[in-house]
Amino acid sequence: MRFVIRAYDALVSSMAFVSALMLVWLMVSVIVSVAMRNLGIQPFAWLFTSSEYAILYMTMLGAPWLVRKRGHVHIELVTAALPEDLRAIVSRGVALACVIVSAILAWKGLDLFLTNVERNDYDVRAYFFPRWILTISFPICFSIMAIEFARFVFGPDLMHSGEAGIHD
Amino acid sequence: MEWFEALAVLLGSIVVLMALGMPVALAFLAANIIGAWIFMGGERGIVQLLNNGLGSLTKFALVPIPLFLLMGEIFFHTGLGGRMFNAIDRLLGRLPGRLSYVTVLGGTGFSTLSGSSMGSTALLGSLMVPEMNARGYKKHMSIGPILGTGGLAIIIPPSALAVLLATLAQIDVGGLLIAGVIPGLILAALYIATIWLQTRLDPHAAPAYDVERQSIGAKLLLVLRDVVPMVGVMVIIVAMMIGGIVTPSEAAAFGALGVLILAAAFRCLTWEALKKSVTGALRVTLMAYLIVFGSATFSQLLAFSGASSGLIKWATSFDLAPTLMLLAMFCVLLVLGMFMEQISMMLLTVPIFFPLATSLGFDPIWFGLIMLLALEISFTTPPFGLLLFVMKGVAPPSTTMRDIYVSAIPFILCSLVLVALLIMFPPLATWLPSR
Repeated sequence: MRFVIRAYDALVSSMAFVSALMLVWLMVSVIVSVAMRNLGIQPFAWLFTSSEYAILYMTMLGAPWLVRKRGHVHIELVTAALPEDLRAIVSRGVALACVIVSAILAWKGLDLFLTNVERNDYDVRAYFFPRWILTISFPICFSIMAIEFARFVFGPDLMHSGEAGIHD
Repeated sequence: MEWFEALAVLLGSIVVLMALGMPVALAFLAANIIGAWIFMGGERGIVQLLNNGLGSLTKFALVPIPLFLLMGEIFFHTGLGGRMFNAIDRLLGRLPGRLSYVTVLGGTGFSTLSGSSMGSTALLGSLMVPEMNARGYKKHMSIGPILGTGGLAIIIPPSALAVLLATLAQIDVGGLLIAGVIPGLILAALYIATIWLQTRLDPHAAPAYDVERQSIGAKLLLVLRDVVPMVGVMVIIVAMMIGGIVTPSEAAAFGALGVLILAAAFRCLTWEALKKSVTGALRVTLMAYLIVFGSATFSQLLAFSGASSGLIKWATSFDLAPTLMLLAMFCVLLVLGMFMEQISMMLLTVPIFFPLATSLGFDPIWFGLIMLLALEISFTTPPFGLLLFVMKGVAPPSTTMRDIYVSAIPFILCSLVLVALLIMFPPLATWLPSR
């Protein structure tokens, strides 16, 4: 069991690492294409397309890590006003609602991914790109997000600190 | 379902979930799921939500957000920002109110690049207020300028929030960024005039104190070494955008590269700083992008359910003058600013306000700029503006809410003067982008 947890933690961290690499790639791809243009060379079309896709992958791979870091901005009004016991209940309830939202999106994301594979759908930009390579990020991202939120439902830590204000 | 019921379901679910403490992006997605289920045909609606999200999140126009943020993070984690701050501080010498000016100049730089007024208010509040108190400054001379910098930061490029607003409203990103230049300079001038006036009216408000005298040569060296390169990067990218030489995405990428090169040149580019910078930029970007992910569906839902057209029809049925309608929208933002941060305010209001603005015949770029100003003003307006409470949290314990209110008012007035000027002379915003 411990091995599974360690492997899972490593998965979330490595997804976040790839997400960070995507951010850096955005900068590099734009600079390279401008440099090529100024040297009188036609920039590779894939530079442009790759940065568009990088935005999607960056978001989907980084979102679960942000849940773990409690980095998703939330407002503490109600939870701050409640006594501790009740706050724990509300906080776990809100986390459960987040699990449900993420799980629905993971489930329908899987549907979309399977449909894309089955129909052989393509994303048409500068290139024809199999659409499932993009939509596969939905079930992965949202199911891991659901697991991360579930840690706040069942685990020892709460999502809310009890201090009034906006937190990120 | 009537349009107002649809509107109540869509907006009500977001507001309730957010108030309960659900993360903003998740509350937005939850409302989208509920709305898609009701108005877009159950399960199919949710698949549509994901397809829309894919379309919204693979847009090149989104590139400047993380890169502007990265630029700011590198600027501050490598210590380049602090260097510039110190240099400006030393250059101003014995000027009365010196630290207030430093706060406006340095603080604007900081909050422009940090993309979060709350973060920069917290940082500047904990850094500058104790220092200024120790120097005998009255509270309003330290707290006011800090609260003011956010308003300036949100409109002048490189403002990540301006890029987000333009993306959500589907208006020209570069246009909105450039439109902020002249109003930004006017607002900076108004702030400086306010501080000057305050020190004239009450010379004890910000007592001058002895500082080490600098020779002309030393000052020149400070300017050339610690101010020109940092300000230069920003000026160059803005100038290139205005000149149409680069797109906002390219300007952002070169801005980040420029700051990286500067950090390397000053030998302060460490792995640790780089890691912190990328992580910092990533945190804000991920939240903003997850909201963008749901934004297309949210606008569609407002349209499909008849909520936006119903609301527009209702609002325009009063036959009010466009300026009054503008004021009404302004008031809505003021109310929202009491309990939400700017990105949430944008996601709730953009899909309604922009179509309304178009139907009233407003120029979208001009309206975008007014909206950015309103977002920031709402944040600092007594009695409930959120930044006021952030400031209360970080200022020395003797600071009362009244101190903070009194400090904020002159700077809010400056922003309101700017809004009035923009209403009277729209070319202040529209001239530069239309060139």
